[in-house]
Amino acid sequence: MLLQIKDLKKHYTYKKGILGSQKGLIKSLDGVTLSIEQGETFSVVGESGSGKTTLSKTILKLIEPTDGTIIFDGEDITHADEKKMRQLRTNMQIVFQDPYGSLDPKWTIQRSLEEPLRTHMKSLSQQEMKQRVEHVLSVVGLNPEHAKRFPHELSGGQRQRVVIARALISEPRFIVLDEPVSALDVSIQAQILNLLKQLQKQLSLTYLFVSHDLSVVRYISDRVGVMYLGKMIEIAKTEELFQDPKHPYTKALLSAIPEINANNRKERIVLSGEIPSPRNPPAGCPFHTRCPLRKPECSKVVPEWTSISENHQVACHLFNQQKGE
Amino acid sequence: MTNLLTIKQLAIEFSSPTGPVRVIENVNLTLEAGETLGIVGESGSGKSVTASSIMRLLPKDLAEISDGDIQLKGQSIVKLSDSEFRKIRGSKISMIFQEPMTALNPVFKIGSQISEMILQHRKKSKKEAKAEVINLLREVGISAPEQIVNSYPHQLSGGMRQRIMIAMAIAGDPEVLIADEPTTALDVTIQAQVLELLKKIQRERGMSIILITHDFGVVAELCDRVCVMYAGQIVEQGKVSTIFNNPRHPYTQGLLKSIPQFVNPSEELYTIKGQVPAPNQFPKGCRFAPRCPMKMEICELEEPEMIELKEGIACKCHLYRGETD
Repeated sequence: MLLQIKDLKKHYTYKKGILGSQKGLIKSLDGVTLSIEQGETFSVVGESGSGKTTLSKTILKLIEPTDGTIIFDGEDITHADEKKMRQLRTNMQIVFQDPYGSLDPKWTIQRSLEEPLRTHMKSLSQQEMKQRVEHVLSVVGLNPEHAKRFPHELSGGQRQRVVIARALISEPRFIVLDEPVSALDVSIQAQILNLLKQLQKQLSLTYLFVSHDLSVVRYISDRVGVMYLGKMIEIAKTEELFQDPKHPYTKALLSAIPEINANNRKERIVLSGEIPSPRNPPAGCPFHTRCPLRKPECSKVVPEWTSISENHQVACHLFNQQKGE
Repeated sequence: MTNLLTIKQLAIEFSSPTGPVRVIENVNLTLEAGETLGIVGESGSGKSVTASSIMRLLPKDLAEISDGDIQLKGQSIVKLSDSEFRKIRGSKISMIFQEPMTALNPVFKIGSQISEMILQHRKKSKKEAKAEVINLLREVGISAPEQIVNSYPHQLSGGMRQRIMIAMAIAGDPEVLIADEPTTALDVTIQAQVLELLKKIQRERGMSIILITHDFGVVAELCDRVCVMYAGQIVEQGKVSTIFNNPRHPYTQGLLKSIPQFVNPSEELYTIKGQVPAPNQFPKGCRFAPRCPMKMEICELEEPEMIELKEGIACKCHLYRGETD
């Protein structure tokens, strides 16, 4: 087990009322529990506002959690200070969606890639740094020649390779990939997905992959967690989740994927309405306002996390009851 | 069926410091009454430029139609004066965009923005227009239209804004709707709602739709025919089911193979080597030749013709020389 998080919460307060004297609470992350094995790709899917990005940033402590525990490699890092985190971040890296926004436009690729080394490995000589940069560029399929260029001189796909190279240069074990291919065209997306898979094998990396694109998730993940309004609502092995989803939201989400092959087209469950505002979340099950299978207790009681099988958990009253019978 | 919209030999030039650059060349397409035509391609393929040129929305002084013709029911619309064209835009052809927030005016209420469209194009009194707005909002699936007319765009969610855009676009009762990436900015369950809405409106109003997208799944769900664009040209067109089951052009084949949806997770994704060339660097001969796995000697010398193949497919590729139907 490389990463374990228990009942992780991130709540924001905001001012409300005419004079801003009252305080409201936004539960961006509301009690998420999961664990990721060494060498595994765990994907988090969900729509805008589901809390998937908050989750990934809180795990790396780019955002301070409000409550809960984060255990990385057997060590509780929930309350680790900035100095300790800087050390830990050689092992935990992140790649964001927009490669252009992640690179300083005034820096050469060489300088951008050296930056993590200057922070984390101060003992390296100039020569060693140069070698490392050259090596990591070849690992992601670029030439040493690219080190001299500026971000605007590269294509979108090349820039994303540079960002991946920068995440790799401190030789981490765990990388958060937050929508790493969403801004890319499909032919470039395929190159980056292949690269990520190949790197994982080569360097035995562990990935937390955050995405809204379900066909990409199906291709790259070992296990998948589905989030809705700050809560994890279902976790299963990838194929099991796609073949046999349990939660009504997961079912609707999967049926909404536009299907290219007409023979594979399933009946679409079109949900009414949209994700409720996190400022005013529904009581009980967060999904009950849109759920086609809603029962009376759904609007009152928060459903418990229930195991369907060893690798499949769901938070839904439909399954709570089954267990009790 | 009759040809509603015909594009003949269209070429579009953008001015640049080094002289005019031809970004679109030799584009021919027809839109029949009641059909949905998809235009797919990667960034820079020219799909949005083609669509904007139909609506006369190319940036003035920067881009112009340098060759060819666009006809609506046999009448050329390229040479119309601006005031004559204004009678067509909105009432015969209208358009919706990817990001509805930028297409709506932030300082006017929803109701007045839609009724402006009605007053502009149809002989109605203000009172009649007001009633019509409510009807339109109901038609696009907004449940409390009486309240929504008094709200501002920023108070609505992305899905609602796209519904408002659609209501505005159909307010003038057009025969052609151009939808430029209408669901790209939306979450997948909201995308499903908007796609269902577009299908419903088309069915009930008998409208024709041109759908521009990079998402093959959306094309498969919504379109009857599809044009695949590459580097400013159409390289293949025909019935959606025929092209997706049996793509002929090596570019279409490559694109479809690089989509994760079709691939077993244990296999590598297919990638098209290299990248889309910039408009001032379009190669001689076939523009796809430098990236084509089936390149022949002739491909870099001579531009292929659009060849009519069996099953109503047309393909711009030397592989099919002499194989006409």
